[in-house]
Amino acid sequence: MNIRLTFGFLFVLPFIVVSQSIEPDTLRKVNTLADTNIIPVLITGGDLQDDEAQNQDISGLLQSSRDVFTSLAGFNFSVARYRFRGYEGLHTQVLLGGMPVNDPETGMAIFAYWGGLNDITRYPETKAGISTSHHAFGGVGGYSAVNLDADDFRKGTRVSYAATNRTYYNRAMITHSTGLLKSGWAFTLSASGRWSKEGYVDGTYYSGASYYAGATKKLNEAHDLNFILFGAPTVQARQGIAIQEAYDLTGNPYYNPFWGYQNGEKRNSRVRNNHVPFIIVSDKWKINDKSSLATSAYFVYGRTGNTNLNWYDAADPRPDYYRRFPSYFNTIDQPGLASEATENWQNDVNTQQINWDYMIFANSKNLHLLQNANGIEGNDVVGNRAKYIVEEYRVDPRRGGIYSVYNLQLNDKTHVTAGINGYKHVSKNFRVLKDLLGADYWVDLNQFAERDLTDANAGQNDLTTPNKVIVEGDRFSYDYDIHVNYQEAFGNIEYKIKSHIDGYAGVSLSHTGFWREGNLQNGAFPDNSLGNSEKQNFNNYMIKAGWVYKITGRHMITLNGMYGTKAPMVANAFTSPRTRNEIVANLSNIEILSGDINYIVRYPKLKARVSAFYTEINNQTWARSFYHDEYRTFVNYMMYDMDQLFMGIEAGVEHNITSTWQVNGAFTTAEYLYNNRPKATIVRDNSREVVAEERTIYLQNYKIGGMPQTAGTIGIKYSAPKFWWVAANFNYLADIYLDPNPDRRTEEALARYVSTDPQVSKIIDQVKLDNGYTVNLSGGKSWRIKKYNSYLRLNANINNLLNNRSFITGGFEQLRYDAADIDRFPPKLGYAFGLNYFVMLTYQF
Amino acid sequence: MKKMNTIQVALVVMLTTTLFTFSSCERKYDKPPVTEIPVGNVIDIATLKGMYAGSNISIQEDYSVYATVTADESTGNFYKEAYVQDATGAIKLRLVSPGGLYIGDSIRIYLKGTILSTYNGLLQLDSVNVDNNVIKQAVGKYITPTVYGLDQISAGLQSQLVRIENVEFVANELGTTWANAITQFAVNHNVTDCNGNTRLLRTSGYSNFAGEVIPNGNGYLTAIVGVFNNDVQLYIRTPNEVVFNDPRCTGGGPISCDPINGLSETFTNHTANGTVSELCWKSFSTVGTRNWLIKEVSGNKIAEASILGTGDNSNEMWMITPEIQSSGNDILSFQSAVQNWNHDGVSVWVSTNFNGTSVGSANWTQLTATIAGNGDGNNVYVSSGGINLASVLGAAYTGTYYIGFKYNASGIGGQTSTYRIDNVLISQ
Repeated sequence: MNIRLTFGFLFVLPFIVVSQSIEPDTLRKVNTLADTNIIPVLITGGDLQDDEAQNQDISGLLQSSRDVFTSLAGFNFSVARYRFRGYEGLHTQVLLGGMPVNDPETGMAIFAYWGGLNDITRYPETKAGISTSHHAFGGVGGYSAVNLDADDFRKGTRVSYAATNRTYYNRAMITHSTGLLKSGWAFTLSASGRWSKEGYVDGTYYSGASYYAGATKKLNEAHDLNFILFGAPTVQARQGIAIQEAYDLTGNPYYNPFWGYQNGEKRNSRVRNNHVPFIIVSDKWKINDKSSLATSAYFVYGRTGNTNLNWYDAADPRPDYYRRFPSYFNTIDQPGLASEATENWQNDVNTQQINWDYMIFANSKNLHLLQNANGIEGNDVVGNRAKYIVEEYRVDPRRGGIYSVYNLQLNDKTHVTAGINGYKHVSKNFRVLKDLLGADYWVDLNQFAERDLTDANAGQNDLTTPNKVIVEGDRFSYDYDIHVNYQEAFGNIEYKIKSHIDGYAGVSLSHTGFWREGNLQNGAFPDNSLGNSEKQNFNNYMIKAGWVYKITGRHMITLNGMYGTKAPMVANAFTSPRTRNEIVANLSNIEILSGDINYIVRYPKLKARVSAFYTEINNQTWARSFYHDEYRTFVNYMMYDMDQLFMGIEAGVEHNITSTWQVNGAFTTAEYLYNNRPKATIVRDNSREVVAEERTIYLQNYKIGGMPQTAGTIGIKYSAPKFWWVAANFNYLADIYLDPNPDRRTEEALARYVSTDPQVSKIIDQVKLDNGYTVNLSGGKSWRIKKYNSYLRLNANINNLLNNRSFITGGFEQLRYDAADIDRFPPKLGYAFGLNYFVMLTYQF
Repeated sequence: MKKMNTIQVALVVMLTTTLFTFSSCERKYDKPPVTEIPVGNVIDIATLKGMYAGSNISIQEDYSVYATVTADESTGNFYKEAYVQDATGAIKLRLVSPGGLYIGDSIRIYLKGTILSTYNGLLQLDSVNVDNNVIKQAVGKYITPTVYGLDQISAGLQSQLVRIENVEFVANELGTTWANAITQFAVNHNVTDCNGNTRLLRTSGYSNFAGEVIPNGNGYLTAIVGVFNNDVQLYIRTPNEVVFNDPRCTGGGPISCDPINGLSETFTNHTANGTVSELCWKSFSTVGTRNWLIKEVSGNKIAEASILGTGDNSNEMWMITPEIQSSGNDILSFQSAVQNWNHDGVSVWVSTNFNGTSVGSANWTQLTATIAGNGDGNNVYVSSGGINLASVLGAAYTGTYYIGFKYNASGIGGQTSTYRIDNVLISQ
C-alpha cells in the first residue's frame, strides 16, 4: 500500500515502461510468445466492436482538447481506436448544458445521441486525466463540459454541406442564433441531416436527423434562465466483422455478414434505431462578483433499438456461422463439401450473405398447429409459424435529475467549488417482433430452455400466458426494468501555496443504488424472474489532489493523484438480466488509484508536454453470456476481482518554425495489462445450475486488447497568409492485441493436454496484431465576402491517403471456443478503412 | 436588417423541414414472390419404396408423395429425421437440417433432389430439405397406429407406427432409465410378452426423457418399427405412450404397485448395491448423478444416500415409498443414521399428487421428524418418533399418498454427510 501510494515512484516509471520486460502469466510454464502467424485484434467481445461511431466521437472529444498531446492523439490515433491512457469511456465524465450524460448502466457517454450537432457541441472544455475543475469532479480519464446556453452562440447563421465516404456520404447542417435580443431573450436553433444509401462498407446505410433548440431569458443582472432541447433520431444499418477466412474467400477486407438480398434489394439484419431527446432547464445565477451558482434540471425520455435475426426449429441463417465455412468441412474430413463451400463462397452472393428470400420462402410454407395457444386449453392456432424473424432489442431510457455547482473566489489565493448531482434512472428492456418475414405468427418460447430442461414449462418466456402467439409489434421474450438512483456531493479547492506553486484538492462522495424489476414470470425461473431484485447499494468516495510547480512562466511541472472507489456498473451486475433477478457473485466496488507527473513547456512558438502515468483499476467485474462447448449450453460467465494496470508515457510537441510552417508530433507508449488472476463463476443460462465456481483465470500480465499500446504521429502544417492551410501527418500504431478470452486461460481449458503439446500455446498465447501506419492529409481555405459581411469556408481531410487496406486495427477472440480444436472458432478481425475523405463547405452570415 | 432576419428564419425552417423529411426513417422492403414447388407425378409410398433396387437412387424427376408424419424430433429421441406413412406403407425421412416437421402434419414430399438409400438395412429417403421438398397440406391429422402382438413385429413393418399390447420390460432391467442422460449414450432395452417373445426397444441418450426410469408393469406401447441390420428395434415417440399399468406376467418385478394399506419396510428383500427401485419403491436423482442405493451392512440391508466419489458439485436425490392408501390415522416412523456429519442432509415429505414418475411436478409437504444429526455417533440409528400423517393430510383424507425421503448435498460446499434410512413403518 505504501508503495502504491508513493507517487514518487512515478519518476522511475518511464524507464520501467520502455524496458518492456514483463512476461505474461503462464500456465504450466509454457512459452507464451505470441504466434506471429496469427493476426491479432481489437475489442473485448459482445457487441462493443459495433460501437465504432461512439469511439470516433470520443476521439473527437479528445481533438477538442487544447492540450498538445491529446488533440494530436485524438485526431491521428482514432483509426486504431486509441483510448486515452487505455481507459474505457466510463472513466471520462461528460456534461452537456450542465447535465451529466454518461449512461447510468454502462458509464459510457453515448455520443450518437447528439451526433450531427457539431455546430453546437464544437467547443467543449475538455481536460484529459486528473485535473481541477470548476464544473465537475471528473473521472480518472478527465472530463468534458459543453456549454449549450443559447445566448453563448455567435449571432448569425451558418449553413454547411459535407461530402464524405465513411458511415454516411452526406451531411447538411444549419444553425441560427439570434444573439441577445432587446427583450432579454436569445434563441439558437440547429438542425442537421446525415444520410447515405450505402456507406463505405457494403450493406450499411445511414439516415439521421439532429435538432437542437435553445432559449435563454435574461431575467435580470443576476439570473439567466435556459431552456434546451436536443436529440438525434438516427437509423443506421451496421457493419459486422468476420473471421479472416471470410475476408480471404470474398477478397473483401470490408466483408459484412449482416446483410443480404431481399427481392434484389440489399437488406441489413442489424439496424440501430435510436432517438433519445434531452430536455434541460437551467439557471445561471451570478450571486455577486465572487460567487455563482449554476443549476440544471433535466429529463431524458427516449428509445434505443437494435435489430437482429432469430430463428426457431430451423438452421442458423447467418452466413458466417462456423459450419458454413470450408474450414469446417475440412475439420470433419469432408473435402468434397469443403471445395463446394469454397466455390459457393466465391461465386454465390446468397452463400456470402444472408438469404432473405429463402427465409421468407421457408416461413411462407411452415403450416403449423399450435395447441393450447395463449395458455387457453383447446385453443388451436393453425397458420404459418415463423422459422425466421427480425426482432428488435429495445432499451428505452427515462431519467430525471438535478446538477448544481457553486463557485466562490474566496480571496486572491483560494477558489472553492462545490456541487451536488442526483438522478433517478429507469430503462425499459424488452424485445419487439419487427418482421415476421411472411409468416403468420411466432411463439414466445425459449428453445434452449426447452431443449435443456425436462420441465414442460421451462421454455415458456411468460408463464402466465404459455404458448403466447406473437405477431409484428408485440413485445415478447423478456421484459424488465433497470432502476438506478444516484446521489453525489463533491467539492474542490484551489489554493496558491506560493507564488510559483499552485495546489488543488477535491473529494467526491456518492451513493449508487440499483435493482432489476422483472415484468414477466419466466418458465425456467418462476420464483425469481418477476418483481424486484435485491436492491444493491454502494457508497463511494474519491479524492484527488495536484500541484503545479512553475519553474518559470514557460516551464512547469505538474503532479496529480486520485484514489477512491466506484460502484460496479449495472451492465456487469446481473447474471442474466433477461431472465432473472440474480446478482453476480462477489459484486463489489471498483478501486481506482492513479497518478501522473507532467512537464509542460509553453512558448508562443513551442508547446510541449511530457508525462508519465500510473493507474490501477482494481476489483472489476465482467459478465458475458455465450455458448460453452464443454457444457454444451449457453452459460453466464462472470469474472470478478479483475485488476488492470495502465502505465506509460506521453509526449506531444508543436513548434511554429516560421509564421507559416509548423511541425508537430505526439508519441505514447504504455503497458495496459491485466494485473492479477481473477476468479470466475459459470452458471448455466437456463437452469441457474452453477457449473464452476472460483475458477482461476490466469490473466496476469496479459495485455488489454483493442487499442494501440504504442502510437506516434509526426506532422507538418503550412498556413498561408492568404487564409488557406494544408497539413499532413504520418501515424504509426503499434502493439495492438486481441483481448484474451478468459476461459481459454484456465487449467480446465488445458485439461486434455500435456504441457509440451503445441496446442497449449495456441490456446493461451495472446494474439498481437501487426503494427500499422496511415497518412492523413488535411487542408482548408476561407473567403470573406465583404458585401454581405459573410464567410465561405472549405475544409477537407483525407485519412489513409495511401489507401492501406491491410491494416487490422482490432477484433476479438470469440468467447465460444473448442479446446480440442482451437481453430474452429478463430478470432474476428476488423480492417481500417482505406482512403476516406471528408470535405465540407460552410457559409456563415 | 430586419428583413435579413426574416429571410434567415425562413431558411432555417425550410432546411430543417427538408432535413427531417429524408432523415431517420427505417426502410421498408418488398416481399419477394414465393416460389411454387411443382407437383409432377404423384406416387404412393409403396411405389416409392419399390423404386429401390439395391443401390442408392438420386431422384431427379418431378415426383410427389402425399403422406402423414408419424414421428418427429420434439422429444429428442429422433434427430434430423422423421417418419411418414400413407395407406400403402411408411418410410423414414433423413433431414438436411433439424426441425420443421411435426406429428400429424399432412404433407406432400417433392422428391426431386432426394436420395433413396438404405442405412444398415433400413430403407430411407435421404437429403430431404423441409423447406424445399415439403409442402404442408394440413396439420393435426394424427394416424392411429395399427395394433400388433409382439411376435408380429418384424422387419416387414419397418418405419410403421404400431401399437403393441400385453408387453413389459424384462425383469432385470427394471429400475433403469430409458437411456444414459449423463453420457448421452443410447440404451437398448428388451420388451417381452407373456409368451417369451422379446424385441429390442432403443432410446437415444439425447432424448429429453433419457433419465427417467422405465415403467414396471405390463401394458401397451406405441412405437415406430426400426431395423438395424439383423435386429428389429422399436423407437418410442414419448414415454407417455408406454402405458404399463397392469400386473406383470413374468415376475422378477413387483406383481402390482396398487396402493397398499400400511408399510413395513426393512429393505431385506431388495437387491444389495442396487438403486432403491424394487418392490414399488422409487428413487430419483434430481441433481447430480447419484441415487439412493441399497447397502448391506453386517447382514442388514438399508437405504443409503452418499455422494462420495461422484465428483458432482451438488446433489439432490429422492427415495419414495410405494403408494399408500390413507386410513385417516396413519402413523409414520423410521430410523436414520449419519456418518461423518457436516450437514443435515435428509428431509421427509408427503405428496398426494405424485404421479410416480416426476418428483418435480408433484406438491410435497415437509414432515417434522427427528433425524440423525450433529452429535449423533457415526451410523448410530436414531428413531424418528411417530409422525401423525392425519395432521398433515387431514383425518378425513381417504386418498393415496407417497412418502419421500429427500437428500441434499453439496460436494463443492463441503456438505457431504452420508445418511442411512431403515425400518420405514406406516401403521394404520
